[in-house]
Amino acid sequence: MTSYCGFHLEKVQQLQRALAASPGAASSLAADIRNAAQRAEWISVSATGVSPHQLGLDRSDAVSTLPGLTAVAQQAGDTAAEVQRRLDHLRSCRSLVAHGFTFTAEEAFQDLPAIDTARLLAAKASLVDALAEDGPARAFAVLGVLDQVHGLNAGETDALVGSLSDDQLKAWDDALHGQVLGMPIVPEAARLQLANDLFSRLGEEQRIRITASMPTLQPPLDDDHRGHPLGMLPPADIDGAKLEDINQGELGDCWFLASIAAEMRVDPAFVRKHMVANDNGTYTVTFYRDGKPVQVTVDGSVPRDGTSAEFAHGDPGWGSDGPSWIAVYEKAFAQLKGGYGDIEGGFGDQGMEALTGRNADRHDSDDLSFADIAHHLDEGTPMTAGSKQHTTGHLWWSHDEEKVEVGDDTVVSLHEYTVVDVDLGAHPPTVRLRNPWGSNGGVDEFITMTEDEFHDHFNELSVG
Amino acid sequence: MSEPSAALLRAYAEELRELARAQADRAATCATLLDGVTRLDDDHTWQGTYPDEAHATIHGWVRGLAAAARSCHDQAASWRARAADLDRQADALPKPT
Repeated sequence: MTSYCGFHLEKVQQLQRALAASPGAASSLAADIRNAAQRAEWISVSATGVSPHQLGLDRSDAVSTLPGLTAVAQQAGDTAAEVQRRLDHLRSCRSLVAHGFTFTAEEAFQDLPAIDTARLLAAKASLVDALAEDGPARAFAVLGVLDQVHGLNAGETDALVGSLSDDQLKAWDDALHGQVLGMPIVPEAARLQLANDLFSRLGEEQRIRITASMPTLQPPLDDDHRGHPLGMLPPADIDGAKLEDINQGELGDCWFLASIAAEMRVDPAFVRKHMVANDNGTYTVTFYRDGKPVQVTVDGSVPRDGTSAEFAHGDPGWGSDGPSWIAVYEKAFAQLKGGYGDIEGGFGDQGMEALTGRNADRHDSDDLSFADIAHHLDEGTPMTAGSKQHTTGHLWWSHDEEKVEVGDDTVVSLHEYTVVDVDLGAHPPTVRLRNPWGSNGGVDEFITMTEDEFHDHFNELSVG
Repeated sequence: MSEPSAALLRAYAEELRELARAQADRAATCATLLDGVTRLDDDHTWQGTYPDEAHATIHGWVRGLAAAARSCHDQAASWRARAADLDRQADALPKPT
């Protein structure tokens, strides 16, 4: 008898085999039931000339789709495969006990790939040796081990992190921001790769440990926001993502947020096509660099200012500490770009290219008439518009204004908006724009302008 | 469509009874399809979050299979009743004189 962590290995294997055999049996049985019912119907019709329906015998449709059999036929195979994967992982965890590894039942029976003991032990020995160093020597040694860690599979990575103490995780984190002559020893690309590896591979228990012990895996905050604690948001509703969820916070990334809104205007399913919630509490977002997809995996923690999300936040109906896919999307973009400060300031074409990989163009707003804009929008092209810097006074007495009133609306200076629609039938024609500040930014979420007003106050149009 | 003969009606009735017998057997097979799984799905085999979730899933399937088995039983019963009808229909046909 072989038991480990509350699992009787032989019995679990027998259960798995029985489960694996059930879809074939269910399909075959369903086919026999359906064929018999069809034959019985045929007999009824042949015997009387009366339809099966009139005879109350038309049950072949119901029988052919017997939900119980269909469920087993369609689902039990996947469950059997998952149990086998978990069992293989459990067995490999058990074989590591002799090498000093310990696992809880939840860790050992995770749906993670089986562990190559030799590869894991080699990586662990290298990493532990590196972490035993001090100062810059530790950072250089850790840098030398990162490729080895990258070469591990998810099961091995989880076992590796699980075998390290909290102090060792903190030492690993220290090494990641080690510097020599003011320059980082571990390059940003290596930090990003390690963060992706760990957040995408670890089971939930170890993922929670690195969220707590390795803050350097998070996108760095700029000087203005450094020191703000991270807080975990409730799970994001990716499938229910809507335009109104996009509410800019204290970060100057209007261009990025307006670009997402522009993509969502064209394709309401845009977010769920590019963002996935993982079982371990992380999210994987797909961006594009030079037109090629780049996946970034981050956890659901975001910088907080008191109890509120400091940067982009979701549906105001939830309050600013509610579930927010946009805060996580923004965080993943900051991670890709090297930090929150690195996504401040930009244009819509840059945002749309990063979001979709398609080429986007930036135009002087005078180059496009409302008819041109309407044509682009009708063709399903995402568009954003950038406002001018508004000033008052003249020469030495002039000064910049943060916003300007245009009719009943307020236009924020040097701000990227999403172009929502153009009404060519209005007298005069108008364009409607959405401010990424959203509904709680203290100004109108949507503004409507005539062509003259638009060209007076906006000088840039990005076409995705 | 011409009226079937008494011999043909009795042959149909016999085939329906045979179909009903086989369908009742299938009902039994359906009801016990996951016995090999449920027999092992207990604390002696595995324990923890995933086994609890799997247990709930397996029991959902077992309930669905029980419903399918009941449906097959009902069907078999209706075919037997129909076979008896056909026998009576054959008996009622005029006999050659």
